[in-house]
Formats: sequence, C-alpha cells, structure tokens
Amino acid sequence: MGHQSGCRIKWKMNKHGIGENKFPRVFLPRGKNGASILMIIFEVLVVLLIVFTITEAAVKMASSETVEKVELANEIVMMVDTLVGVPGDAIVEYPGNVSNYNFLIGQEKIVVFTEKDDVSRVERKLIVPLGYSLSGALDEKSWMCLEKKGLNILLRECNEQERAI
Amino acid sequence: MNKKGQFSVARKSIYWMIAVSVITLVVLGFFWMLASYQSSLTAIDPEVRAELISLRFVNSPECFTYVDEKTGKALLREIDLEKFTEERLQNCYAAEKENYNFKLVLEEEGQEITTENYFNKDDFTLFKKVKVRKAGEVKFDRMIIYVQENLR
Repeated sequence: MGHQSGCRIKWKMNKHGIGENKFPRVFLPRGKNGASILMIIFEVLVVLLIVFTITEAAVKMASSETVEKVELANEIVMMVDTLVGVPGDAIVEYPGNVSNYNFLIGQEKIVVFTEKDDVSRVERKLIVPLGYSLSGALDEKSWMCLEKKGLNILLRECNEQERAI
Repeated sequence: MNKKGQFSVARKSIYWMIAVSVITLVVLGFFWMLASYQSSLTAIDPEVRAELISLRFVNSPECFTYVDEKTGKALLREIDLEKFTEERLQNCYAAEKENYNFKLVLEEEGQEITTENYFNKDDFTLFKKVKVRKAGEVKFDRMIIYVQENLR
C-alpha cells in the first residue's frame, strides 16, 4: 500500500496551521493504479467523443430536412423534364409549401438549400435540349412555380392568379 | 519501467489498435446504413423518371417532333424522320454515363439511334405509339425506347 493512488489535493500549511498558498497543490495520480485511472478517463472521453460525433452526424444525415431537400430537388428535375416534353408554353406549380427552403436554378443544375445550413445543400443535374435557358431563384417563399415560355424555363414565386387556379 | 509495466503498455497498445479498427468499421457501417436508408426514402421509380425524360422524344420540336410549316405548331407524337438523327438526339438529350441513356427505334421504319453513352445494357423498355412523317407522307409506327440506367 506504499503507492500513492488516485488524485490527491494537499494544502501546504505554515507552522500556525494556516494555508500558505491560495490554491491547493494538485498531485497527479502516480503508479500503476494512477495510470489505470488516467487510462479509464481517457477511454471514457474517447468513447464519449465518438458517440457525440456519430450522433451529431447521424441526426444531420437522417433529418427530415435533408430528405426533404433531396425530394424537392428530384421533383424539380422531373418537373423540368415534363416541361421540356410539352410543346408550347406552360406553368407548373409545386404542390406544397416550400417556405423553409431556398432554390437556385441554373443552366445545368438545381440547388436546394437553407439559409442556416448551406453546407448540406442538395444539387441535381438538369439535362435540357440545346437552346433552352434555365434561370431563377426563390428565397423562402411559400409557393414555387416553374414557367416555360418558348425556350426559357423560369423558377419563380407563384402569383395570386396562378394560386387561385 | 519494469517488465510488468512494459507488458501492460504493450497490451494496451494492442487493445487500442484493435479497438480503433473495430470502431472505424462500426462507424463506416453505420454511415453506410444511414446513406442507404436515406436513398431508399428518396428513391424514384426509374420507369417514371425515364418516362418523363422520354416525353421530349415524341413531343418536343427541339427533338424529333414535326412542326407544321403553315401554323408553326408542333404536332404531338408525330416524328419528322428528317430530324431523327443521332446528332439531333445529342442536342436533345446530352446524357453522360451516370444518367439514363437511350436507344430509340422506329419499329416499322427500321431506324435506330442511340445516345452517346448507351452500351446495350438495357434495364427496361418503353413503348410509344407515334406517327412518322417521311417525305410528306404520314404512317403509324411504334417507337421502342430501350433504357439504360446509370453505369456507375
């Protein structure tokens, strides 16, 4: 039992029995038992760190927001495909409230993202016939419309008249 | 450090080497499971996707649809045989390997064209009744659309 085990705090006393130092002197654990305790603390910390990291990533990955972003992007791609397959002009309204998301459509891709989390944005490639032009953006508006006019496809907010139909 | 201490350190090192490998495998497996679950939630029926893409082959004047010279209107499901070329198909649908690729066949006419990355690996087939306009004459025909899903 000659070993010092565990972590001990010791006050240095003067001859009157009053503590000289303001702060206690901390002795780190020494010996076999001390090393074991340090190792256990280290292992627990590692396990906690791994659990925290995995949980954080899993929550982010499996959140309904990510799934919704993917679904929105896929559905917009299909809406564009449908518009391209329609001769003449047409307007399609997305059948749902999209006020939580931002949209950006360009010549080659559609991007769906949120203001607070730009990192996990979802992108999908668009393939349209030569001569077509795609443009438009939507920032947290409730109702999204895709309008085809000639060879231009525009993503914009639906107006009241379109909503009434 | 005595022999006992050295043995203890070596034993811990081996333990940690194994633990790190196992934890890495578990983490990778977990993320793989999550990714699969997510993609199963957002999966789209390939036939629906291909059907929507192939609408352009029969209805879009930028692809093969005949446009009436007098009215300027595109006649739905009427294929202009002069337009039915591979070059036109590339302009209509410039697919890469990871996209859907198609082989279009006009059954009666016996003509076929393919997209650039079509490698005869058909996953399914779509059929569309069409009319084919050849030198002013219109005939009923059937367009067979062979679909090759992404080649990743």
